[in-house]
Amino acid sequence: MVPLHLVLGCCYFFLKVGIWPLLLAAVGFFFFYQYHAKPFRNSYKTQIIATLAQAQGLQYNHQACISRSEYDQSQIFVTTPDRYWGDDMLTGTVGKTGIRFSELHTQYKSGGKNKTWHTIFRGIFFIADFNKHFIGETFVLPDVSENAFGSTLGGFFQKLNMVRPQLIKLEDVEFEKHFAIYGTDQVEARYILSPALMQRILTLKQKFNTKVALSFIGSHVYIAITINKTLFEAPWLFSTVDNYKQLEEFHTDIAMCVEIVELLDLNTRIWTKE
Amino acid sequence: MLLIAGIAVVLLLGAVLTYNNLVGSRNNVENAFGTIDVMLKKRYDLLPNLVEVAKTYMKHESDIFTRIAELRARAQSATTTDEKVAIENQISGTIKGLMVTVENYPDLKANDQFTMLQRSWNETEEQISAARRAYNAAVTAYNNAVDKFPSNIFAGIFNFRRKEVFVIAETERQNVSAKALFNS
Repeated sequence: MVPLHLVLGCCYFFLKVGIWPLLLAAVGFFFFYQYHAKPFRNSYKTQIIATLAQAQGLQYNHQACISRSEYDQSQIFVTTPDRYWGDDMLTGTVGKTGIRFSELHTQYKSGGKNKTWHTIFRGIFFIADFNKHFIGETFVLPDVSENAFGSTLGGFFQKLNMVRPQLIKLEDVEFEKHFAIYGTDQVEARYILSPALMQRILTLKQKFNTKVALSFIGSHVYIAITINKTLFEAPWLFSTVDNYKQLEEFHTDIAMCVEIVELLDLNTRIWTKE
Repeated sequence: MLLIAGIAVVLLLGAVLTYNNLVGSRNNVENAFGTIDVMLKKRYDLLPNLVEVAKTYMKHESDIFTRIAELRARAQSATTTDEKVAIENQISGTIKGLMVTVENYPDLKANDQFTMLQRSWNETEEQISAARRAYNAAVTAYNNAVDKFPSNIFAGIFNFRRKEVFVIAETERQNVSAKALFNS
């Protein structure tokens, strides 16, 4: 409860000197915040997030992100982005598997004069070294058409997809319900997507509880995990930096990405690829 | 008159498409079967090398090598597909048994050449399994075309018969028991 004399005092002050000093103070505060917040954010990220990443054996660079060429190489998204943004890159080796991931936001624009921006992808883009050799391209994409039109009609639309290689029908019904699979080689796609890996990808999707798309190209697995939040955001300038709940959240976010290696069993190297 | 001609053209077009779809799916099945053969050949080429390296270390396991040699000879003379598949399954089982026995030979286990061969073997095994799954998918698509209306009419006329999918042999489903393999 604000004391009455304080309210009355303020009213008297505004009546006497006008609103301008207050506005001036607000503008001053804005610039003060901008001036100090950026260095604070940078040092927060380079010190705190980097330490959390190091604890899991990863290097952190808050300004870097998965490169545009790698994003294009994955071919998960067919729309060419007009705006490409990303930060919070983490790289490292988990067991025998090299991984790197970062936050990404890609958009395309539509319309002539009144430009509208549409998101192609926003979330975590994850790249790992795959444990089997392959030469073709295999895509595991969210099954949009089968979810919307049912298996028969949806399956028909899947076949009509002109931008993707041939449709691959796998025997795991549950997996087929969630994903549409395309690949350049029927046998190779099945070699990559063994029954065990299909189950593991389903678990991964459940764990993140969001849209997940994968591609297997050039001895790598690319995973696009849609997430509608900004990762590793520094707290407000005037709040404490030892907010454990927030630190725990950052830790969990990193741990979940590191766990992908375990979830997809990428450290099992019983094939010719070491 | 024009209407009748129009209907006739549509019907003819439908018939051509259905027939072509049947032929296409039958060819896919044949192609998939060919791929299995290629993968089996790959594994088959690997066998002598694997045996050669293992033999130098596993002097007391002559039984298993005799059995592999015997199976290999039988695989060469096999004529029917069923026979071939049965022998290949037995080869798979025997090698799995061999891999279990390798645990008792630390020197062999540490041998780089053997480790690489073992990895190649695992790879071809998984490739064969993938080729079989691809074959089964092609057969299912073909059988659907043969059974579903209206293509079943053409299937009947042009003698397209249902094909059997690969069933995993009982021995493959069970876990490998080295003891059972040596007693057989």
